[in-house]
Amino acid sequence: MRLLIIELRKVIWYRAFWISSFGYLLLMPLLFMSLANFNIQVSGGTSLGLNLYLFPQVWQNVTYMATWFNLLLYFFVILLVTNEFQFRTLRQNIIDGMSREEVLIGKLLLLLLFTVVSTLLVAAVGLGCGLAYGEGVTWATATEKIHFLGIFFLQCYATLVFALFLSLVVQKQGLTIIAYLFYSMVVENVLRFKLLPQGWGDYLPMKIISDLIPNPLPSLLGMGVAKDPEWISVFLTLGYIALFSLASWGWLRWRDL
Amino acid sequence: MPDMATVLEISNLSKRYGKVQALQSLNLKVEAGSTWGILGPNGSGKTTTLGIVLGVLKATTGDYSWFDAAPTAQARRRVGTLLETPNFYTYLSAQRNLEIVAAIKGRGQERIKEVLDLVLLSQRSKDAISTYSLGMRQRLALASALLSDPEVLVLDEPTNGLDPQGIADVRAVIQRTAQTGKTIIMASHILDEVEKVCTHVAVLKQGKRLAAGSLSEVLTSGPLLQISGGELSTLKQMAEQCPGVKQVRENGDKLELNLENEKTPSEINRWFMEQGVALSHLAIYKPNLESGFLALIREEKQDAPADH
Repeated sequence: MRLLIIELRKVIWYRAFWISSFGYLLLMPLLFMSLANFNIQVSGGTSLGLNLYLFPQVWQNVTYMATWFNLLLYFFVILLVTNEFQFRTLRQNIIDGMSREEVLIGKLLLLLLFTVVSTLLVAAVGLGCGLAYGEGVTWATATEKIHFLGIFFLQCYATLVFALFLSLVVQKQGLTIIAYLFYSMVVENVLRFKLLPQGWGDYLPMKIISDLIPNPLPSLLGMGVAKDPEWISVFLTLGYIALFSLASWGWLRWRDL
Repeated sequence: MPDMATVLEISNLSKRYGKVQALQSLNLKVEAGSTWGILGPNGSGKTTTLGIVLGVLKATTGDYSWFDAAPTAQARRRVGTLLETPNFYTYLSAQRNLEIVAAIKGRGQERIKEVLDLVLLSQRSKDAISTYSLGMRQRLALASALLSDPEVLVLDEPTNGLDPQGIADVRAVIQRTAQTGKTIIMASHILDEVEKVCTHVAVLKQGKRLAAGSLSEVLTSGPLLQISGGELSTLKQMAEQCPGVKQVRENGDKLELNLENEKTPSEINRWFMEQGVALSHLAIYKPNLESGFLALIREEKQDAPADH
């Protein structure tokens, strides 16, 4: 708790934090409200009206879209962690009497808090949109696919821990963001399709983590059934969270700061 | 003499950055209540030493201990530190930055106002650090070091980059703190600064300890005899043969002889006369610490090639 309070002291009076959270908390509901009348123009002029907010499907739709929106949160975490290098305050914290382990645990706790808040927000938005725009709500349909919130939680935390690890290693703000995008968009795909034996690439971290919540669009368009998360992905994600935490620990443990 | 508690003990500490040997088998023992200066030119390993004992740099080999125990984060909380460059969250105010330091140290929240007063920053305590000048940041760093009322102060070039007023202010605070019986370890390349605060000094050069001990022991070489007469190199060769001369050093067009205690200038003069050399200049002088320091550094430079 002491460590979390120290971390909170660093962000709570940070203007960028308030601007980001304000934007985050305000924009996400607005985005989902604007999607309430989602139309896809099919060639020929007929439009396909889709309701994203029917229970129980709303949980998958909302969490899936929120993972994209969460890019804002990932970048904010990168900003916070690389700030500590830019201001050399990570070094100062250690000199003042934090252990390297405490530095890491403090950050992991802060990310956990962000994940909890993000999940609660998505839950509120999903529920609100479902009630406002969905139809035929019963207790059973409203809770049927609610486990997607748990999956979202896992997805968000895993990505944040990855962003933390990357920030610790790269240390420079812009470079870390570039490395994040480059890794998730280019490196994994090259590994998957060119370098690794067929099939192995499906187990790379960003692939596993981003596929936790299956894309609901095909089923919405009537192409196939809505897929449920796979247990193997859940376990692998937990494994990756552990791996990135350990890698961060190892990195902090042995390096000059 | 009774055993004093040891605050910091460094044994055989070495640090290598690639090919550069930044620190070489350093030994140092700092006892409670003593004030140590780590003196040396830039790049001599002072900051590396402090970085290691403060937990941010990893030693290549060797150990150190704080308060007679293996070093821990807990031990660092008992130490107040002022580094060469002040490190703060620049978007936060002085007050908020000190709150974070106090939270890490687990003490000192109630002293924030007091230390800000001490470094004359109370008026600006609510402003973001990004609006502070370097001098103000340095003073805040001093406030931060004193915040937890630590038993030990570690200062690295505490007046670097300050204007004369800033230097005077910071030195005054350090001197006052030294008088309260706290242990001080101060790295500096300015002898004057060390001399004003410290009773003991360790001289480093190129990562090696040249000398360590009480200030006067290390930096006073005893009376020096300046002589000249005839050709300098011939005179030097002779002087090295002269009984009672410990050391011969060239200084400009004269030689400086370091004499054994009981030797007098007249004895030296007589010896040269017996060798058939008439000295044209003979003067004794007592060197100050500055020249002692410079002599120490310079001697090493002459010997240095032999080490590599």
